[in-house]
Amino acid sequence: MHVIDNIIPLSYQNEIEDVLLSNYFPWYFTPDVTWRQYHTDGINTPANVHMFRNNKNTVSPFYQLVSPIVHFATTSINFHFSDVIQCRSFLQYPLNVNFLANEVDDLHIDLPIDHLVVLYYVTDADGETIIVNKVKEDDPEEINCNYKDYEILNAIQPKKGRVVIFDGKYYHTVKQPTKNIRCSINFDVLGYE
Amino acid sequence: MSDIKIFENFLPQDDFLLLQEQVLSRYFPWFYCEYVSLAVKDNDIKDPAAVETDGYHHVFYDKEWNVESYVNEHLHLLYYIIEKKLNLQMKKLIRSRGSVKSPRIGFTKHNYNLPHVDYFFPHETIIYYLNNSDGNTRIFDQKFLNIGDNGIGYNEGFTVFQEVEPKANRLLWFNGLQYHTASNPLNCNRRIVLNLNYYRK
Repeated sequence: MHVIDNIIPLSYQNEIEDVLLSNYFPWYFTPDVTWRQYHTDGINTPANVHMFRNNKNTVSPFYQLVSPIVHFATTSINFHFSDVIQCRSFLQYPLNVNFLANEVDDLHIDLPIDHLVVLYYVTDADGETIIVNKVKEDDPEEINCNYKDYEILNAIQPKKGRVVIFDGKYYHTVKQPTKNIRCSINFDVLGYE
Repeated sequence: MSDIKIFENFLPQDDFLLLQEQVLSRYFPWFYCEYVSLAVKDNDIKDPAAVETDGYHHVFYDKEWNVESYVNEHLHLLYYIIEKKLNLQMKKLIRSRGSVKSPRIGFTKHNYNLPHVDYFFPHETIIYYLNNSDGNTRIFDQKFLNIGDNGIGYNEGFTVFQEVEPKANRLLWFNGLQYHTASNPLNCNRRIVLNLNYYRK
C-alpha cells in the first residue's frame, strides 16, 4: 500500500481541480454513493459521479485529462500497467444528519477481479479513506459492511495531489466529509508488479 | 409589494412527468457551482439567517453567454404554456436554468441562501418546481431600486414577505426586481427547480 503526495506537478493538480469544479464539467446524481439503492433503515447518502471509463471503454471526453495520473502512479511503484478497467470521479458534500445513516459508508471492493486501485484526491478535504484487513477471497456473504469490525490497515486523509495505491482485493470505504466538498478520482487498473 | 402568482399543476400531467423524468434521471448532467445565489466574497450581505452554499446548475439557455443546451428544445412546450397561462408574450428569454440544492450540514429551517435579484434591470422571474421537497423559496419585501455605493443594492434589513414550498409542477412568478432566495432542503435528497428570466413584450 502506497500513499504518495504530489504525484503530479502542482500546475497539473490545479488544472484537474479547475476543470472538475468548473461550469462545464458534467456530474451525474446518484442517490447513494455506495451504489446501494437503499439502506435497510431507509437512509442513503446522495452524491455526484462522473464516469470516465467503464468496462475498458472510455465514456467521457475528459478521460484524457485525468488518464496520465495512472502512468505517474504506477511508474512510481514499478507496477507494469496494462489497462484501466474503470475510472470514476466522486463529488461528495457535507450532508446533514438526516442523510447520514453512518458517518462511514459501507465497506466494498470495486471489482471482483484482480486489480490495483489508484485513488487520487482532487481537493483537500476531511472524510478519510479507510482500508481494512479483509480481502475479496472471503465469502462476500460473510462481509460485515461495518469497518469497525475489522482491523484498519490505513486511514488516509484526502489531500490535493495525493494518491493512494493498493491492491483492489482489500475492502475499503470512505468517511463522509463534514466541512467541505470531497472530490476524488478512482482508477481500477490491470497489470502486474 | 408587487404581485406574486402561484400556479399549481402547471403543465399537463403527462408533459410534466416526461420533463421530470428527464431532468431527474441519473443520466442528466449537472455542473458544479461554488455559490448558488451570490459570490459571498463580492457581496456584503448582512443577514444572520443567510447562508450561502454550493450547488449544481444546468443552463438550458443563456442569452448573455450565448449558450443553449440540447435539452432546451424540450422546454419549448413549457415556454409556450407560460405565455398562454400567464397571458403574456416573452420579448426575449434572458436565461433558463435548472438548479439543484442538496441537504447540507449545519443548514436549518431558519436559514436561507443569500437574498438576491438575478439581474439588475427590469425583468420577470419564474421558478418552476420539479420535485416535492422542503427548502422553501423566500420572497422578500425589498425591491431592487438602484445599485448604490455598495455595488449590489440592498444588503441588509431583509424581511420575508412570503415563503413558497417546492411542490412538483408548481410554478411561481414574480417581478424579477423583487429580492428572493432559495433554501437547501433538510429532508429531501435534492431540491430541483427550473429558473427562467425574461423580458415581457
